[in-house]
This record gives sequence, C-alpha cells and structure tokens, in this order.
Amino acid sequence: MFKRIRGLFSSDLSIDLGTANTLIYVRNKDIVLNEPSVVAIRQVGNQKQVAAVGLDAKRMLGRTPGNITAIRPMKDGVIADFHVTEKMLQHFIHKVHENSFITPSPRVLVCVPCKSTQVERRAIKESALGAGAREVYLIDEPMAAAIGAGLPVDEATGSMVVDIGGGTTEIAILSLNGIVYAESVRVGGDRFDESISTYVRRNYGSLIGDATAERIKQEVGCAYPSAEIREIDVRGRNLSEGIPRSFTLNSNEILEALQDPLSTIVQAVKTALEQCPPELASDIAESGIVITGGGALLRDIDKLISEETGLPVIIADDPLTCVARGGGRALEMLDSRGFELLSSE
Amino acid sequence: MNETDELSAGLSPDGIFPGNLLRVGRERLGLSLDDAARQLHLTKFYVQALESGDFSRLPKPPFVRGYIKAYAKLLGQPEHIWLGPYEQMVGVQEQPRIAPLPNVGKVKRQARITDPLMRILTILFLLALAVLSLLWWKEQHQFTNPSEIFHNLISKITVSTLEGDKQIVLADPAEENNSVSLPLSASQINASVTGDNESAPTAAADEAAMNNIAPSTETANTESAVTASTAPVGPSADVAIATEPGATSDQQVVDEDMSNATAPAQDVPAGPPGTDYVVIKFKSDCWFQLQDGDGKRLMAAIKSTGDEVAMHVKPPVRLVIGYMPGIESISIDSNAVDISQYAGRDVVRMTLPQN
Repeated sequence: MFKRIRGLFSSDLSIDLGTANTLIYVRNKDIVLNEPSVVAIRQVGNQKQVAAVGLDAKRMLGRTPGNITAIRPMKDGVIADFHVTEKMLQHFIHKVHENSFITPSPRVLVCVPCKSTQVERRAIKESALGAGAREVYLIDEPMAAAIGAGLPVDEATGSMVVDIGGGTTEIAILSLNGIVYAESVRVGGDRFDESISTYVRRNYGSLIGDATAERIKQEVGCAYPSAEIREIDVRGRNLSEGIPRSFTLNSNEILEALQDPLSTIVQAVKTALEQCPPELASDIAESGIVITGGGALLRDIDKLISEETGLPVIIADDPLTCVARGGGRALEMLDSRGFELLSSE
Repeated sequence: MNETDELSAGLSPDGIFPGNLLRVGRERLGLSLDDAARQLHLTKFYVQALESGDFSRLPKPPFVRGYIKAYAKLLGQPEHIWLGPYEQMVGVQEQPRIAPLPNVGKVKRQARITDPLMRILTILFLLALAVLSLLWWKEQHQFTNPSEIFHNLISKITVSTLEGDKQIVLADPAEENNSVSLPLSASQINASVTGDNESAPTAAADEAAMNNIAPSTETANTESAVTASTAPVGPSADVAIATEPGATSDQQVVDEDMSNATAPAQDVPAGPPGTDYVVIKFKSDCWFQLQDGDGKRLMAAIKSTGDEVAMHVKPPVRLVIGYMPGIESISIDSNAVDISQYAGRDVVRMTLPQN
C-alpha cells in the first residue's frame, strides 16, 4: 500500500547491474547513473557500515586501511554478497531520486545474465525488492543489449549480439522477440585485467593492482596485431626487491597477455554460430555480429572476431550503455507490449 | 590539401551520402570491389550499395553504421566524415519509424512534487484548504466574540417551577439590538415564566407585546425569548431580570403559548421598513429553513403540527421546505402563496415574493 503511494513519486528504472559498473536508465529520460559496482564497508566494533559506494568506493580499492574493505558485490555477473548488493542498489536508487519528497519505490527492470540460475535470479530480485523497489522485472542481458543497439529483434530475422561485460560475455542469437540461442562465458573485462596482472608478474616480476591493470587495458590494450605500437609506463612493486619499480609495456605485450581470454570469447562465438539454425546463420552472415558492453571498447576486438569468423562485426554505438538503454526501452514497451520481452524467473 | 580534406571538400552539404567518394578512395588504394568486400567481410552487393548510397538494399541502420565505419577504417579516413552525412540522411528517412518510441533524453521532464513550482502550488493549496475550513467553521459556529459564545452557552435555561419545567430561551444579541424595545413589568415576566395564563390583563399585554416584538423573533426562537438570570424561580418569585442599565428595554419575554396569539393576525403588523411579513403554518412535522435577502439564515428548525412562524423578513425571502405536504399555508404581507404548484414534491425551494 505504502509502496504504491511512494511509487507515485518514483520513476521507473532500468538497472544494468554489472560486475564492473552499474548503470541506471530512468524511464523517459536517459542514463542518469554510471558508477562502479564497488562498496566500501567500514568495520566499527561488530557493526558494519557502508562507508562509500560507487566511484568513491572504487577510489578506495586497494588503498584501504584495516577497518575499511572495498568490495565488489557482483562476481561473474551474479550476486556474490547479497546484503552489500542490496545496500548498493538502495544507495543508487536513492541517488537517482535524490530530490524526491518521500522515499522512492520505483518499478525496476534488472538485466541478468542469460545463463544465470534460478537461485541467482531470485537473489537479484530479492535484492532489488530489499532496496525499495515496488516491482522487479528481469530481462536477459543479450536481449536488452540487442534492443539498446537498435537491432531488429522483433522481426523474423536473425540477429547476433555479443555483450562483453565485466564478468561475463553473453552471446545470443535473437529473432521474433525471443532468444534462439544463448551462451554465457565467465570471461570479461575482469579476466582481461587479471591476465594483464599475471603477465606483468610473470614477465617483469612486479605486482600491479587491479586499477593499474585496467588502465593498461584501456590505454594500450588491443585484440588484434596492429602496425601501430602503443606504449605505457607502469609502476609496480618488484617482487624480488620489494620496492616499486617502473617499466614500459607495449600493445603487443598486452595482446599476448590477452590471448587466453580472447580465444575463449572467440571460441564461444564460433560455438554459437555452429549451434545456430541455418536460416538464422544466413541472416547473421549477411548482416553481421554486433558487439556491445565495455569489452567492445578494446581496440580491434571487432577485427579479431571478424577475422576469426569471416563475418562482418559491428561495434554498437555507445556500447557501454547498450544494456541499460535496451532495458529502459523494454520498460517503456512494458505497458504497451506486456511481458513479451521479459525473462521468465 | 591532404586526402581527408579533399574528401571532406567533396562531401555534399545537402545530406546526400557521397558513396561515389568511397569508390574513389577505394580505387585510389588500388582495391577492386572484390578485394574491398573480402577485407570488409561483406558481400560485393553490399559494397556496391554503399558506394551508390542505396541504403534500401542494406540491413538496418545499426549495421550500416558499422559497415561505414569499417569502410572508412579500410580507407584510412576518419569515420565521422562518412557517418555525418549518413546520419543526416537516415535521420530524415527513419523519422517516421522511430516516432512511436519516445525520444529518450529529450523528453520534457515530468513534473514532480519536488519541483519548486509544485511545492509552491502544494503549499498554496493547503493554505486555501485551511482558510476554507476556517470559514466553514466560522459559518457553522457564528460566534464572533466571547460574549456571543457566553450568550450561546446560557441561551437556553431551564427553570424549575412548581408547575413544571420551563425553558427560557435568550434572544440573539444581534437581534436584540434591532428588536423593538419592550417595556415589561415584573408581573408580566412572572406570569410568562410561571405559565400563569389566568391573568387576562397580563395575557392581553403579552399579546400586544408579541405583536410588538415580532421583528425580534426572526431568530430560531419563535417561541419564547427571555433575557433573564439563572436564579431559581419559585411560584411567586419574579424572574430576576438582568439589570444592566438600558438592557431592560431590550429584554423580551414571550411565552411559548403566546406565539399562537400572533397566528390569527390577518393584518400585517408594523415592522421595520423594507421588510415583508411572512407567515407559515404547518399541518404536520416539517423541517424548514428561512433566509433573508442578505442571505442570512434566520431560522432552520423542525416544526410540528399546528406550529406557525410569523416574522418580518427583508425580501427576497428564501425558503427551503423539507416536507412540502406538511405546510398548510404560506403568506407574505397577507397575500397567500399558491402552494398547490408544489403538490407531489417533498423538498421545495422557493423565493418570495414570487414573480
């Protein structure tokens, strides 16, 4: 009853609850929040308090004193820490409604990995309800990504979308508002960072943090050999000497470091094409594969998949926000088209 | 001028996609159509369509954007050079298709209760509601000052006498001021309070008094109006009249029974100038309300069989009768009002005199 009244003062939200970033799209507006899915928890006696959420908490990652822990409550696209996720969602929902007169209670659409289990979906739903949502709908991430990328998902033509997120890569073939084939591999941006850290440790004997690995990936990372070589200066703690040392990495080294996760993604794409019905495979061969998600920003990843599959590969416009925008579009269609696009829990 | 500038200069500003420049760029690189198609992983047919700017033969815009980006990359040109004209062109073509979907980001912001304007309007609305409530309350309780409240509290006094209880009703102070002064003797008061109707002279005097005080009985108290103290009254004791200087003349004492005395009056008694004399007779229980020309509610009461209301009222007189069959007659300035026209109706509203 009270939630319904509070709902009058709330906006419908589409939430891309990602491993790396959480994006919130407000109905009839646009993306209003894009913050890292990080929560800093402060331990006071036996009590745990939320010290910071989002960008503030991400700045604390790896730099926290003993009584503060900066954690990422999402792992591999699903909830790793239920209560922290709930707190994080609560914070973000309040932040979106920060001018609100009373406590918001919006209708929320959450994007979930297509291969997440019923338990994982239930956890996400309960978490959103616990954060104050009035109603929670779930949508498969590839479907939301395809809608956000502007693919003709409602037509009788095959569309293939590869959403490379922070924790997972979702590969799906869609037609007539439904998912014909979907696969989810637990490889994403985090695995790229991890591979870079491992490479640096192995080849330079130095330890670098997650934030540094991410910076290396963003600045010189590439997925396909290129004539243009980029370099970056990095500082890490030398394992043998125990003191910080500086060294230079180039894009070819990063390409080598990323070979393992990239080949996993390429293999998953090839498997999807193998499993695809021939008519849809023909459509996809003609129009191409669309890449969304933060992983699409890795230089030449389209070229890699294109060369490996022999198909045209297109990077969607603004790939980072495709899922949240697609979820928002689905939310707008919810009243007119019902639950056709939504995932069954 | 480098190659990019040349291409930029060659782009038509009218939003037509310069596909031929893609062909020129490809030929400059020495690539055949097949080579370009192979490198782009597109069919030859699609490459031709791109070069001719015939987008109807190509898939949906998100794909075409990707093809154009890939083609621009192949030519070593910035992609925005080609995407700009394409966006312009597709924007025009696609408008009818995307119209049903809301243009996200540009939609006018919904009004929220937190908006300053909404907040001010809400406060104004609440204030207006409070003022209206106050006015309503004041109308319901027409006490404007404490003395009126006090007057209301003591407006009905029950006096125990040997002959039974008598109710003494005080006249409204506002009306007292307008009322005709009525010098009454203590014996008259005594008679009226004790209900002693045997004394003929007193009764006669009371009858005369009733005629005189008719204007003052405009209030709900057509029965008796007494301004008296609350001192217990014995059979022979006089009512102790409030003895404020000058107040005695305003004090009206009317017995319940005496209201009947005015009923048979056929002649219109003298009243204040500019007023009509209204007489209503009841033949069964009936609720009615009477308002004067100023909209002031003079009376709202339930009358029983045989009751009669007679008073001077400033025209036009507004009457609301709850049970019309309970009315025997209505007259205004001795002119009977035709009530037969209301036959068969219960609730009747009328304004007198009727035009």
